Amino acid sequence: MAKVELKKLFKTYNKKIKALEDINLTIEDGQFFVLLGPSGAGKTTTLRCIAGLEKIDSGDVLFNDENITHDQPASRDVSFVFQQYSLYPHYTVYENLAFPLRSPMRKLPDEEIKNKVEKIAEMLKITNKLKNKATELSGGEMQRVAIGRALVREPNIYLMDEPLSSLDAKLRETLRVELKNIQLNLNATILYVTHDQAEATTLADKIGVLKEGKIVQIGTPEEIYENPNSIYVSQRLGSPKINILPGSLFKLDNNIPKIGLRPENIELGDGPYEGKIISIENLGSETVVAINFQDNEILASIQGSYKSSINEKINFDINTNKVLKFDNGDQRIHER
Amino acid sequence: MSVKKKFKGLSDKAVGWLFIGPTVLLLLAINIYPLVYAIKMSFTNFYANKIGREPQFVGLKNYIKVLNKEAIWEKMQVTASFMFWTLLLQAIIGLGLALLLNRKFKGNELLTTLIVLPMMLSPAVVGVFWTYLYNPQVGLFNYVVNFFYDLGSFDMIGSSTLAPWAIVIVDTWMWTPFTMLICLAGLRSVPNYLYEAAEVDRASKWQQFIYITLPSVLPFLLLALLFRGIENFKMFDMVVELTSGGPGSATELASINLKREAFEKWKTGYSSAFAVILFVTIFGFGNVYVKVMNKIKER
Ligand SMILES: Nc1ncnc2c1ncn2[C@@H]1O[C@H](COP(=O)(O)OP(=O)(O)O)[C@@H](O)[C@H]1O
Ligand SMILES: [Mg+2]
Repeated sequence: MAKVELKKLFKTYNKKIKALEDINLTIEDGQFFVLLGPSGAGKTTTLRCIAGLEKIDSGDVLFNDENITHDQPASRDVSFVFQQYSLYPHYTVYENLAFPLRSPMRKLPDEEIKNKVEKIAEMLKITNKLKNKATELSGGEMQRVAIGRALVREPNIYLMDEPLSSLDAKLRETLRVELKNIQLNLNATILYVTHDQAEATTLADKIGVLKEGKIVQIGTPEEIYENPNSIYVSQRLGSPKINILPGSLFKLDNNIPKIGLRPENIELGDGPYEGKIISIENLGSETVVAINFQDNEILASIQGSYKSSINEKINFDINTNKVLKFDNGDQRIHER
Repeated sequence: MSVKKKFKGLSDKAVGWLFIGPTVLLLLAINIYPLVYAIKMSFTNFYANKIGREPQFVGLKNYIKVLNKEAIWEKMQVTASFMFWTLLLQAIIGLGLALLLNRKFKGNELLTTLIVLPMMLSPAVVGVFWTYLYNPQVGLFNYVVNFFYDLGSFDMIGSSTLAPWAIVIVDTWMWTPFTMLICLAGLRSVPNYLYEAAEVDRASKWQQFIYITLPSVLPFLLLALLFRGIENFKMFDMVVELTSGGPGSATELASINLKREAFEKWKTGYSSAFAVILFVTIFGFGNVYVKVMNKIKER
């Protein structure tokens, strides 16, 4: 496995669509790095540039400090789980998994190929499907084979493009846990791309937040959650979503244009502020209460259930220490 | 019955029949009726030129005669070898051209159009046209061959060893575009991400061809060859125009022999039996071929 660095990467499509602008990031050897961003942010493009499937306009790609910007995909030795299932349709699951091992650049003996394929199939619970044709699988199985085909070898880096997004919720959760275990066992370097915040927080050692082709913040999941440097980043993590409100709404010391208030930092039942309940949503372990406060909708979440009813008046307080302050440009104001 | 009911219109089924009716009638008239008539004739000693003589039922006599005639097997061999070489060449060259044209380069579309042109000509015209090309004195073909390799004077059509190749070359020239077009459709249907996946998996170009390209185009190629096979089994016009089956009977395909028996010697009953045998042969081979092809497609 390798350390992977991107330096001042620029990429435009058809000479006008700016897909990536000045991407700088370092993925340490053995790190699980998650790129988080909405659709169209440039996640897939970033992966394709690292794999060598797209020509970049300028910038450098480094593997273990070696510049490989102009190398062919094959010589870069990366593995890629594509967003869409890209299995070889005319072959069995076994052949699909064995395919990367049959490369002339690797040439393993059949016996060793068999061992590796069976091991990976067991890990992904597709052993009983090995003889199936790739097209005779459910969506979930196909994606597991695609992941298996990537994991069957030890490349410089595993590139994964929303590998779980097309699976149902239960399978997604199972595979998420498995993927993290596999990564820890293999001490693998992974660049994982997703728009799903749950995946990002549970999997990542480091998260890079991508916005319209630019990286706006890099940090651990905790840093991104607790210490976002802009409103955009603050909205990437957290469910229910962070409340973005005018700063004048609460009694805070100085003039602050906007504040971000996480739902769990609101205490209900007592306090200086009075609003009206719009809705109560019981999610089992927590309850989300929507409050109308001076024509702003505020979401609060509390442990357990909450006894009240809609249109009731409600008093609440906020945890001022946890309030995130933003300027007019939606950037974070840091206390000195 | 109310007026309204009377004009209520036709049922779906009736509309369906109305649409396919004319076609069915036409097929019955020009395909099925002659077939049935030929089958009937094949059991008689009918001579179409002997008017007034009532044909008599002779049982399987015509069939036995056809199958016992050595010359028939020679014609079948001529047909078989014509088919073998045309199909082989058209498969290889057609696929090769398709692979080339599937790449993106300038003038790609124009080149495709040019290559496809021969296919659009009438076989009789092609026959005449190539008769000139093959002319030993003034023909372009001999000139070009001699330009690359000095063979001296040779006559493609006049020589009984070269004539079978002459018709193979013309048919290949004319119909390779057909296999090429169909292969090209197959190649275009392969999603690009498969090649990208293979590239990342460090497969060689050869492995990409074997694992991705070939299995994807094979069903298309086989379908093209089925069409070509059926056509060439019945091949008539182009070869008649070019060699008339000669010299001697070097290029006398089964179909040409059949025409001679039927319309030069007027052995109508006998040639009907021959025609039925040819029909059953191609029908049988065709069916087996389609079965095999579907097996391959399922793979
Ligand atoms: N092949 C392409 N040609 C032109 N534009 C593209 C192409 N691929 C992606 N783009 C554009 O580049 C931007 C980033 O796309 P992409 O990397 O696929 O985003 P994501 O994977 O985050 O959804 C988008 O605006 C998209 O429309
Ligand atoms: Mg994408």
